[in-house]
Amino acid sequence: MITYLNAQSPHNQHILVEKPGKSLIFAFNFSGSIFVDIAAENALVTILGAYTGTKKECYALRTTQNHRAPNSCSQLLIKGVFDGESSFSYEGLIRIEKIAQQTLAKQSNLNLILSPSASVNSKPFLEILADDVICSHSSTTGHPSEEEIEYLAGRGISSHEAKTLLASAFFHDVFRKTEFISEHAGISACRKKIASLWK
Amino acid sequence: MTSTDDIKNINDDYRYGFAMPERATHKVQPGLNAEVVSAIADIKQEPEWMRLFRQRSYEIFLQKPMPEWGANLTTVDFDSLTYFIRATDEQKYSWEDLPAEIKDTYDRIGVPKAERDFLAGVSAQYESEVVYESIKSELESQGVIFCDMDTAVRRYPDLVKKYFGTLVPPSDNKFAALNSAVWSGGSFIYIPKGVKVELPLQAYFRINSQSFGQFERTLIIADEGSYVHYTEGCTAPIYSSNSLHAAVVEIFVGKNAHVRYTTVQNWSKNIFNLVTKRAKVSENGLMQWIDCNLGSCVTMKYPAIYLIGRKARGETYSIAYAGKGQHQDAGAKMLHLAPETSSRVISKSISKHGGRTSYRGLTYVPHGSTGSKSYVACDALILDAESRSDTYPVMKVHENESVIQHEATVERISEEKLFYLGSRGVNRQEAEGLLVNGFIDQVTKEIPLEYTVELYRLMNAEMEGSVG
Repeated sequence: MITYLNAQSPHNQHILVEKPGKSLIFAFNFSGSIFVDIAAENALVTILGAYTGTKKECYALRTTQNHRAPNSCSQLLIKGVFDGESSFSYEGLIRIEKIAQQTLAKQSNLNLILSPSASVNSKPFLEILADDVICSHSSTTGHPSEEEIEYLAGRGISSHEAKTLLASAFFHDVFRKTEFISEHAGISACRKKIASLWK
Repeated sequence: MTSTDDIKNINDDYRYGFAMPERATHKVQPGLNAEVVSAIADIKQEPEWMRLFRQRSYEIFLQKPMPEWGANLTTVDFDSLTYFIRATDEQKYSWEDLPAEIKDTYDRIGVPKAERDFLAGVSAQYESEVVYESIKSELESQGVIFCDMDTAVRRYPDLVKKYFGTLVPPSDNKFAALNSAVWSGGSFIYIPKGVKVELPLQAYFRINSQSFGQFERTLIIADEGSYVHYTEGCTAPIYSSNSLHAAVVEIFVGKNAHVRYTTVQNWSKNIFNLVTKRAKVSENGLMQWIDCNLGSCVTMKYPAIYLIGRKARGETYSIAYAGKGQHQDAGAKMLHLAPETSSRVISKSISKHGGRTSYRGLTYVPHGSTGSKSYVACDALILDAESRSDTYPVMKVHENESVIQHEATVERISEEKLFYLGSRGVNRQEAEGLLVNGFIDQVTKEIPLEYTVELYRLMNAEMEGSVG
């Protein structure tokens, strides 16, 4: 099952997972809420997000990984690069109910800020009511590393070019995680758009 | 099982749960109203500005709603509490002069021995006021002030007026307003420029009465280039009715100064512990909160650090343990209000027997705080299927020249590690204790050695029979 969301998609997305197997939710510059209700055992849910903010663009995303069946797995990776005066608010929750033993749930939100006027608010929350689970989250917000820019400069790449190169490379692992599905028109278009964005 | 039996059952291992007969030379009527607030000011014969401060705070308290987020506070009954009890007529400077039951209390907690062995100064608060106080004479001659807050209002009015209530104003939250209205006791510390107090200063807080509210107020001012380590310990007897502890702590860390504040909170499990702690750090200063929450039924405490000077640093190391009937809602706030500031939060929490631990934190980097760095790591252990763990961090980053990191894990003790230790002849219970001690090790190594030993002992007592 593939759900593709973009800026035009309805804001409230309720996704019920009631069968075992893999499912993918991919959000490209989508604003709104994604509630993933995992009610089946042996489900593997992948939630991916790519956000590119330029000018005065403003995105707000809320995700919930609601585990109410045992033996399932969910992984979330939201990455964003923000330039200009753009802003991004992220609020994510992993909720593991008492019954959902042996859940593996992960949540990551990684952001790059390219300009002094861009901003990011990130709230990665966990509510764990079962004990036999592995659950983790991480969130980072920073700028392209000086070391990497210098390395590229040493190879004749200007600082501006280096930044754009690093920004598009930043999304690499988001797309790599989609490789288990056959090509999807929306995701491919998103990939092309990101690659061309900082040219 | 009745609720009283229930509480006894929870507190079986709590060795500070004894109670002495209540003694009071002054005691206000239970309940909270404007008369009680002015009665406290009367008994203390306070200056007009403080009386007005109390009255204004009481009005703010009435207007503020109860916090609806965080722990469940619906059972806090402001009308059933007693807000002021004076246990002795005057403060003593020798343990021998204290009334027998108070002296006996502190002997059983081990304070006089600790003072002889490794402390530079001690203050002991019993109910509302500080009953005993001492400071090493060489520190006094260097200009160090260590006294209770009531004395400071009388003796150093200018210094107190300048700082009191400026970092945590009464309007901050409902419990800060309550504290500002009925505060009593607490410590006042002033460390002059360049003075380094090598041994810790210690305060012991004891609640003895039933249905009592303790509202101490602590103010620490560390002038340029100074150093002080302040530690506090808290205990109370076990009653079936609830008591409230709502303290306010304000700390001013000067340029190049370093303040370390260690709390070992071991209230009995009938205490609501709702505390507002905040520190302001100037250029190149360092503030460290070391916060251990083991007791109380509900704790809500988020020590904050305002980094206002260039290169100011803030660190919070915390341990929370929640057993049956406990909710530890603790965390840390770091506000990077100047360039090149850095912060670090290490939080470890353990929940067992249906306990609940929550981490709630804030990292804020406004535009202009270039080169700021923050690292937050929260790890939680859940030891049985009835317990719960939550993590609620908030990161607000409005500056691109900064690096903000947060990570958290929640898991149980891995069977693999238990099996490994088992194969080396360590029984399961010991192995669990060992692994839990290993889990909190990163924080315990920040605590003075004497407390580490005590903490391990407490943790092991709490952990006993946890394998199942």
